[in-house]
Amino acid sequence: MSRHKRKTEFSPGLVKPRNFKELLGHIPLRRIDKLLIMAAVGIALYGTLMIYSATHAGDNPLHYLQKQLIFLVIALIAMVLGTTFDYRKLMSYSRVIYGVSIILLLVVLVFPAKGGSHRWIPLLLFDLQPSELVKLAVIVMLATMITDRRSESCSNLDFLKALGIVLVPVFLVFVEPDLGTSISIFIIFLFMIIIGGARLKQVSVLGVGTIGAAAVLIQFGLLKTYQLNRLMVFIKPDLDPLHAGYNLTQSKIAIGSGQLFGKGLFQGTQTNLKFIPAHHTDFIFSVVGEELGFIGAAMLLGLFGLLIWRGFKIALTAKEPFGMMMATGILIMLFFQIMVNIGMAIGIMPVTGITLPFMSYGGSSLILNFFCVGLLVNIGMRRFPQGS
Amino acid sequence: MKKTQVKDKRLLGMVIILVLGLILVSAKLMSIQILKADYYKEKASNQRERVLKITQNRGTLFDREGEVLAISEDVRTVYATPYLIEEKAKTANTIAEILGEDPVDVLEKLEEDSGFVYLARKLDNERADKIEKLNIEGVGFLDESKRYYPAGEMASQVLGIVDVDNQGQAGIEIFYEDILGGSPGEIVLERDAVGNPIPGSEVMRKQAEDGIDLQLTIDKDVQAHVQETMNNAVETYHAKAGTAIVIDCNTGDIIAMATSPSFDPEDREAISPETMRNRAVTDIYEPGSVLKIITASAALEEGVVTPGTVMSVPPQIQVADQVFKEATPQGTRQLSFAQIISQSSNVGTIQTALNLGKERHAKYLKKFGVGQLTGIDFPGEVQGLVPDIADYSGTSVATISIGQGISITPVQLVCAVCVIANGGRTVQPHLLEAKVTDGGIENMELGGMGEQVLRDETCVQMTAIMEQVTAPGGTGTRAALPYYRVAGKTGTAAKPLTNGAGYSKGYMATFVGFAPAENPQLAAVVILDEPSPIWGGHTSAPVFKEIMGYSLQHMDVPPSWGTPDAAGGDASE
Repeated sequence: MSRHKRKTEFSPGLVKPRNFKELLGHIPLRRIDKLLIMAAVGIALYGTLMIYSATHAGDNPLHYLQKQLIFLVIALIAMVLGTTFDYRKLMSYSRVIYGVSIILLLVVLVFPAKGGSHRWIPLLLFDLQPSELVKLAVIVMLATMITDRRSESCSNLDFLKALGIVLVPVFLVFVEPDLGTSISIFIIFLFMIIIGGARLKQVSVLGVGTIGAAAVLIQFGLLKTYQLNRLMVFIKPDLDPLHAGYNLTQSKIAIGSGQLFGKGLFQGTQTNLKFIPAHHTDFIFSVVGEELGFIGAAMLLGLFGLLIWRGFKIALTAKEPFGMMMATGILIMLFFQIMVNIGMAIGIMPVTGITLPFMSYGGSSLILNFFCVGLLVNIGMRRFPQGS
Repeated sequence: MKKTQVKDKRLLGMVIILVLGLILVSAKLMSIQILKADYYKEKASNQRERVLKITQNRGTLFDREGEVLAISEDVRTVYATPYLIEEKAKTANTIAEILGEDPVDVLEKLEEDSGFVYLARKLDNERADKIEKLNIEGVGFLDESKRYYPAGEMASQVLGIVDVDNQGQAGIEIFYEDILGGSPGEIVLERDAVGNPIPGSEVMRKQAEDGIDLQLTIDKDVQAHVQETMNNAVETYHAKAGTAIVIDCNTGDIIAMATSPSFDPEDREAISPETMRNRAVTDIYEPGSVLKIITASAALEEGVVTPGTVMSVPPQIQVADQVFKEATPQGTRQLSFAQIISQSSNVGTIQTALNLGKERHAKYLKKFGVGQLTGIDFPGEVQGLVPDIADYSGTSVATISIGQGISITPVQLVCAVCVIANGGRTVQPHLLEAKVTDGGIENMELGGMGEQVLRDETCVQMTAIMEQVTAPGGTGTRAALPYYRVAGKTGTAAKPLTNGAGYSKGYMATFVGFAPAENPQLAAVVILDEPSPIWGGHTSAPVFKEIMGYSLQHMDVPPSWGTPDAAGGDASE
């Protein structure tokens, strides 16, 4: 009983539903952010269409389409699952989630490398990408820490603990190697800790330390040659257009040649003709830009804008810190990936191999992203005490 | 509560960062897709598209009788993609046998480390088909077109040449390139990043347009005879070169235009720029005594003299600071004006020119087209060098009246003679007769007569005088034909040094004339560059006789007396 009591204290107004029907009975449908779900599903359908367009020319035209549709179904189930429980329960499981994802990050290193990196654990339906999971784990862990903090202000010890929690996965992902995801975990941490009340002094020291660490990494050659090349080429794409700068240049050509209205769906020449590698994954935005033009790209940006806007509404109106921090973390994660991926396709960000959320082909990220949307909806619909 | 406000503030700060990020992305996207869109579009096309040319057929050149002078035929180029060929040695043997080449050479090509080698360019269809039937993987064919000149060297300078891409490079081939050339078709192929053509992506961007066939005024047989005769004359008289033109004096149709030495238009590599020049149009020379016919025509037309006017002709005459003598020493003679011209007296001609005056003399030079472009349809025509009357020195009128200190082209000279031959009107020399299309023959009407510059009476008088040239006692008796009355004029002129200071030891020997005198049909000029002997009457005159005799007979011109058959027999003697 005491356990139950503690819970009610902890979660004011919450009544544990016994089943889904009861849940819906307690939570009015109007509290479900339908616009947010529509935006996410809209982007995912848009993405599926573009993946089909980018891959239909192969020997098995339906291969990628079928797989992505299966992923999408699983992802939608994951989204619904993300709404069915009280998100605050995650606090109690944060250590478990974090621990499991760290173990998976170690396990993944055992599996054979694909394309030079150990990123995937082969499962029945799809290859699991632990680095996707660990992002959510870090968000949950940090949100819990910030919420559980005894004092409202962030002590140096709290700060160092948070840093330590993040640096472990940052390092493990870095050695896969997956520099892009490694950086994105760090960025999630950075924003969450700042919004979570870190003092400016702490952030400044962290900033100086990060720059120092980056300098050391480069100085001692710990970055792979191709990673350095990509960064160099980003600064000067014409340096070596056929090798490291190739992706960048080709992507810009594809998008630019789409002009205002695009070449029409399935009519993309640059993307379909293998000028752009990874056009159904990392460079899916190039396909949109080429085939549907500025109009199509702007529509996609609009959908992302809608998604982010609804997400922030949820973060701002969340009445307790854990929900707000969770929502913030999820939004940072999504937005960072959107910016880096689109930025890469149009040449304002280096090529890092970060996929475009909801759009790029791939099971792990799609399922995780939809689960996160489910969590956002979850946070949004539980923002008011029951019955008020 | 206060802290929560800090968090909200920071959260809002983050929203601003994100909005700025979205704006940045949108702005960059606009820059790529709208502002610089054309740049990227072009880059994309360049990367992707490959244009294949479809060879068009070049127009055929016919002579005035419809005989082929130049024709393009489909040929095929055989190439190989060496790495695709298995059993290289065996393949090399088979192909070498068909090509008639050394198998070792072919094998060497097949072993090249390249994706493309020519095995045979512009091969005839028969052998190409044989190779194609072997169906060898890695051997491919391209349709090409090759220019043939069935008559060989006989009109090489006039017809000109084409380059390896069948573009006109000289002569008629380049002058009428726009009509003859047509335009190649284009097929656009798309290729992927690896460079492989994408099946089904071929788009016909442009249909090939064949060139239009042209009929020239040239008569193949006359041309061949003139060319051969000139080649022989250059050899016989040890001349450096020779030029001859046969023209219809009533229409300006160029029946033949030959320069010796000639060249083989199908063997481009062996052609020197020197031999490629069509001297009849592009080279100038000092004509010498042949120009006296213009001086004489002017004097008769202006009434300064009549053919019967008897003049006392001294051995020499001083004009300003220069003394002019006869070509061979003479005493003082009483000569009629007709004799002055037919015996080519320098002193008598100069006396007449002085009486005529420089203004009137210059006026007739101009009327005869001397020193002006004739407008012949041939590239690179030059207008010659005729001093402006304002620049005349004291001796100019004297020198020019006998054809010195003045440079003209052979085609100008023969056109000037046409004026006398056709009753006083200028003619427009031309080489193109008609366009031959599916719709029929479209006559281009380039020729015809122009302004009346001499009275008919003057022409009759001049013709009589020029007939005397070929009559016994004249300078050009060797040009006389047995069955046709020939009117003409000889000329022997020292070649000016190229630096303009004085004359060299070489001479240009000319005979210009027309026939039959009673009803002129054809005019012709024969010029030999540094022949031996030097005299036009000795060298160019007999060549003229040969050329004119053959031309008249071939063009079915009725003889002045006797029977045509007899005329033919004798002319080609």
